[in-house]
Amino acid sequence: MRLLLIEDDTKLADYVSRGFQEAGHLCDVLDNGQDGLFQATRETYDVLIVDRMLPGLDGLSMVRAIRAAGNKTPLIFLTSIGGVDDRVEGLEAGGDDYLVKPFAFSELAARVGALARRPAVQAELTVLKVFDLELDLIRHRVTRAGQPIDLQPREFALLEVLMRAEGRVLTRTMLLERVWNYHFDPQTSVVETHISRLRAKVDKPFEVALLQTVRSTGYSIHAPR
Amino acid sequence: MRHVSLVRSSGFRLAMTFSALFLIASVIAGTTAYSVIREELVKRHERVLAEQFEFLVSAYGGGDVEDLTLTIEAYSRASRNKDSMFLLQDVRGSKLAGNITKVPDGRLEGQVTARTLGVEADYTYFVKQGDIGANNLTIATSAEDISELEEIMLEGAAWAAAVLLAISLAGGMFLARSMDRRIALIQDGLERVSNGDLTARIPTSARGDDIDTLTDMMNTAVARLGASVESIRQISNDISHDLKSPLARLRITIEQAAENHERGISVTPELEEAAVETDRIIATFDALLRIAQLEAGARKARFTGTNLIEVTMGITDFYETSFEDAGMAFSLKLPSSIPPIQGDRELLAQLIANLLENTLRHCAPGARVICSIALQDNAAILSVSDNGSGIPVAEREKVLRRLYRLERSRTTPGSGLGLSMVKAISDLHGASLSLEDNGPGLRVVIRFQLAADVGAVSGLS
Repeated sequence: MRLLLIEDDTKLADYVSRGFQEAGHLCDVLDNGQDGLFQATRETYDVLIVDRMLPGLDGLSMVRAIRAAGNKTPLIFLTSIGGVDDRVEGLEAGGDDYLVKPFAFSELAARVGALARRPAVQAELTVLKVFDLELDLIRHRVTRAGQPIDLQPREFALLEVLMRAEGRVLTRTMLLERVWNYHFDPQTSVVETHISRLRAKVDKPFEVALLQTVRSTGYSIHAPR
Repeated sequence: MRHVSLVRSSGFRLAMTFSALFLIASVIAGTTAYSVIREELVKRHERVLAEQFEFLVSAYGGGDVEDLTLTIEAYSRASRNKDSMFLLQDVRGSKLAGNITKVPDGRLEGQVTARTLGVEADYTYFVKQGDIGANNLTIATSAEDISELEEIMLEGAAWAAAVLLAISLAGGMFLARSMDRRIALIQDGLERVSNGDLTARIPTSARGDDIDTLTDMMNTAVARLGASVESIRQISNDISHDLKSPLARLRITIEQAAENHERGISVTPELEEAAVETDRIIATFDALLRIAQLEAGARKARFTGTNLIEVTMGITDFYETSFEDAGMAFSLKLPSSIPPIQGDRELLAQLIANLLENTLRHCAPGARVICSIALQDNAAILSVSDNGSGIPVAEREKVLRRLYRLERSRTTPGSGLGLSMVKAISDLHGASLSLEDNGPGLRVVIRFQLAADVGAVSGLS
């Protein structure tokens, strides 16, 4: 992936760009809004990572200008302004995702990965398939190795979100947002409870485990490697 | 207290303005009355003069000059004060009789000065002149009464003005004093407030007038200010007390890691522990910020008609598995339908989530937890009750405070912010929150006002 990080906190920018570079990606770093606007509209990137508070041109205005120029590169806001209204404001300005500082690098990596691979025009799939697990979106049925699995509606929605992101890591907060549409952080392990319920139905009766826990990051579903 | 000079006090100025207006009105009224009376007197003089002349002409116009001369002489003698003046002249202009010494030139008519008739006085005379037989008769009556009236009116007016001025000065001073006393009370109160005493209140009178209304509003403003200052003080206290311990733990962990590193032992466990501790501190700060934002109230702009049943079903569905895993019996009691409330779905979900997480955290396996909504008196009553150990009566008010935790809960996870957030959210929705005894256990009741009356309900009393 080729990434552009626009962030004026040099320590944080170093940390993030080094993280992406170690994972084998290219990451350009700029420290102000004007250069960011110029670079983002001149070069082609897979994902833009933008701090909301920037010297010169602030992040929000910069993103509005980028979008006004017809540039549709996926974009994630990094911010220490964590209010829900600010998040809505960021998304309305043209951001695709929003991450509040301080954050874990794994959370940022997961979100950037999800944005980069989000297909421009998603082909309407009717059956999602991971190894021998099949989820039929029309009949609302799940089978594994031909055997029907009976899921509750929420379990079905959770599995659908995981399967649509096959091979990618989804963090706890990403699951909360996508499956339940909640943007607050539960203080208990309620997401883990749902995952373990799903796992008990989808993985436990079978030899191969598909639903993986990625330590201190989140969950991922993929065929055995 | 700051003293204002008498002249600048609003009571005095009010009284003075009023007296000035009263004076102007009196002058206008007096002048009008005077001119009406004067006009009447003038008319009467003219009429009397004309009648007298008519009488003399009809009685003596026949030619008996002797009789006429005697009559005029008699009239002249009778008028000692020269209030009536007479002059009878023959054709050549020689004086035949009368008390007018100086013979006027030409014809006299209407009003003339006293000097014209040879009288040393500063009033005027009404004069009538005409032929009587072959002779010429001049008669005049003094207008001294009109001059006197003028004098009396002026003198009266001067006295009246003096009395009026005296009374209004005294009244103004009295008004200024009594106003000054009330203003002094307000000044005293505000001075105490500006010196930092936010418990100061301005006393009000029993009158309930405009000044009392103003005073009440000032008292309310000071009380609100006091409450917010108190809550800021409370938060800074809480933060310094309650965030210090996780920071201290973090420091110990880091020291441990440094020590282990020197000895060549792996520091991974310590670093992981440090990360967890840091996350906890961040979560606490996030929650504090969220509560502060909620209390600022801006979120209210995004309120829409929200179905409380749908919100409750969504969030309880999310937590149901957690209750099962914790070995608790969870049940939901909802009405079939409910009018929408003005609210924020996400915040309401978080409110219920916090209450459910509290029961998950503080109740033992086997506990029964009930979440219910009931309609009562145009209100939707949301309650979450459990049969756990409850909260002692004395602690119920305190647990709504930020970072406050019961002594026995210090060891269980949690930030001590869950219920403060519940209170902030219910306040934002104009709902009232109460913690009740569930005998045994805790029952949290939130009362949302429905429909038209939403604006009339304020937060927790």
